[in-house]
Amino acid sequence: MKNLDSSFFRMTKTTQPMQNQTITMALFEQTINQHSDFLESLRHTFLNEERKNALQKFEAKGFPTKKDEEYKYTNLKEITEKDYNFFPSEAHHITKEQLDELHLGEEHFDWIVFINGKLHKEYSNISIENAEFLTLNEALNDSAKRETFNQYFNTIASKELAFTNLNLAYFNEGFFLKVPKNIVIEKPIHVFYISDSQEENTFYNTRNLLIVEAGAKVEVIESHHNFDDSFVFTNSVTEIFTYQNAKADWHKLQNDSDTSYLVDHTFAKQERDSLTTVNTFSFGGKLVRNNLDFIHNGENINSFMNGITIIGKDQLVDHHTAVHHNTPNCESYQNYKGIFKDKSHGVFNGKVFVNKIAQKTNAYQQNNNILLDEGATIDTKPQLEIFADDVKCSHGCTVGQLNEDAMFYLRARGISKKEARALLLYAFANDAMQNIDIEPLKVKVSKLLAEKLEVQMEF
Amino acid sequence: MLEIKNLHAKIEDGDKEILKGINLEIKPGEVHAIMGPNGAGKSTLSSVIAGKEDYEVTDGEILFEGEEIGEDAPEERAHKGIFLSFQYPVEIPGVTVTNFIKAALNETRKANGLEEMGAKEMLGLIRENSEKLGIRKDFLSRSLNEGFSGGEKKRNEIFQMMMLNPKLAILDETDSGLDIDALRIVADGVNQFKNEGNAVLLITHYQRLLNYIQPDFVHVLADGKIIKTGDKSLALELEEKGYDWLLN
Repeated sequence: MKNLDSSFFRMTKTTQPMQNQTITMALFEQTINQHSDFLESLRHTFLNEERKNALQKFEAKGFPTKKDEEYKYTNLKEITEKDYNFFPSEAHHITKEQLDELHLGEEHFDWIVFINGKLHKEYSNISIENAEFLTLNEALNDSAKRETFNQYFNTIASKELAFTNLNLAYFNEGFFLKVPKNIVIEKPIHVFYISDSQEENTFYNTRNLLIVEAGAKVEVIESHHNFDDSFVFTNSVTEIFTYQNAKADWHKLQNDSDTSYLVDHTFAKQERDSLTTVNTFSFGGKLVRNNLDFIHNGENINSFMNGITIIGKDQLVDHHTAVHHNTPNCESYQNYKGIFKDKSHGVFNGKVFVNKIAQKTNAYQQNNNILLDEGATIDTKPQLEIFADDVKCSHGCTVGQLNEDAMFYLRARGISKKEARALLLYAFANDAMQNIDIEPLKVKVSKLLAEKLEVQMEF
Repeated sequence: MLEIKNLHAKIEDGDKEILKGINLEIKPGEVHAIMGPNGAGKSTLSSVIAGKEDYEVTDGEILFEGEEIGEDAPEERAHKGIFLSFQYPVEIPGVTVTNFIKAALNETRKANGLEEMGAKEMLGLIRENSEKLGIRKDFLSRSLNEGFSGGEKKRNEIFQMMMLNPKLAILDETDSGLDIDALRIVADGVNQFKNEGNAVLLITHYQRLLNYIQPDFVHVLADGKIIKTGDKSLALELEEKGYDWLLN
């Protein structure tokens, strides 16, 4: 057995004093007090017991603090000390033009648009055929359709974690798709979660469920958008099931406002010969925590996790990944790139667990970071627990600055300092974009990169 | 075109002087070669002319078309018409040769008050120059220098030079690492580029390149100073005798 549990590798140019912990948690109180009102607001009751149990479990431990190893570097206080409205008002002022700016193309995508927690079909563009598309609300309220729901829902999401329990207690809406055997959904599906015209801070618990049956194929893009100056806290849980020879790609496009918090936990369970990719592009949001669990349940599985993070100001993006290699002959690839400006803070923790029967595992993990300004910080930690003896596992993390010789090369060709820097950073981030099959998404990510690097360039 | 007067330079954070009083004048239409043993300061000289910030000019001046350029940023010197071909070009994954040259050319045009070049004109120019150098089409859509062989990198440098059409082209060890065929193609490119209005400064360790590109002047640089200047026969003499006879 090889147990590599190194401590976090922190790079920063200034030393930051540890902040004192205070226990006052406004949101915690609210989650307890609001639940009966929430349950009364629902049209279905069959989940009530599960929801109450989940809330009790949450209540017992509360929100994680920095004393919790998993949240050592991510302080949730600024989220949990605020008060939120649990019942967003439906009225909104979103226009077609605003949506046009968000989506990636009229013709080649389906869009599913949720505004203030409700599906808006008039803004959506749904052409999915031969597949069971539902909003969770439909699934929850139609007992005839509940069978599929019951079979999959909450079967792979953790039942022990604070945020998954909180989500179970309070989720009400989300995206639910089952792609039957051998069906290929040609158009990528872009799911929008929009919050608008909320006068108070608002708390959303969104929930997604994707089932891709044998030989089927689908691509999903998920993005969250807060149009208000008030804060939005989204606690999202996604479960993805990929069956034999099926392929599922899930792209998270995170470019939300400075008054947005997101805690996401995505669980992906794969059966033999399947391929699942989760790409996470984090360009915005005040505080974003991405949790990703891949669970292998068959041989010859391929799992891809890529991430590009570019943040500045006092933003924080935290990636916690875990790959559970439970079966032999499987491969997982993690490639996370981070670029940190100003006083921003990045966290990466990548766990790889290799079960003793999971021989011939090939697990690759890479986390590379560039700190652009004094005051930017990255805490990065690979964590490998390997109980099989015939495996190939590699990991690496780097923290660096831009290569001065490369800068000179570009500038000597007439490219200004700022553009030269952007080109080199683009080159640095580029190989985390290799698994994007959707050309307009690639273009969008490139454009966002240029925007975040403050240049007008086409790469 | 280029006048260097009593140029002294050192590495920014170091004490050791590398250039110890260089004097050099290059006029339009001329080809100059600077030769010299390793460590003489040849690459430092080309970097200092191009404006690399790792070096500090401690004395003397560099005039380009009569104007002091010592305070200019590298990109400003490029915009004025100075081009440096690198000994070790940098690899830029994800940025194609075509996109890179477009960016470089249009930045230079903008800085000179010209409109950006249209796509059609750009494509025509790219085609013209790549054909001159025998560059295949697929090469242009590859990532800049990524996985290029030594010869491909140098050919790409010459291609960029031809696209940017500078007034002064400094070729730093462009011949190193090239086989004879690649050397000939690179030299052909330089000879096609060369005209009465521009100038070329070749920096080289070996005489080999000078069989293909005829210099008007050959300078020997040793220990940070030009110790001898002659015509192309000096290069042949160096080839025969080495540098030692000049150093003592």
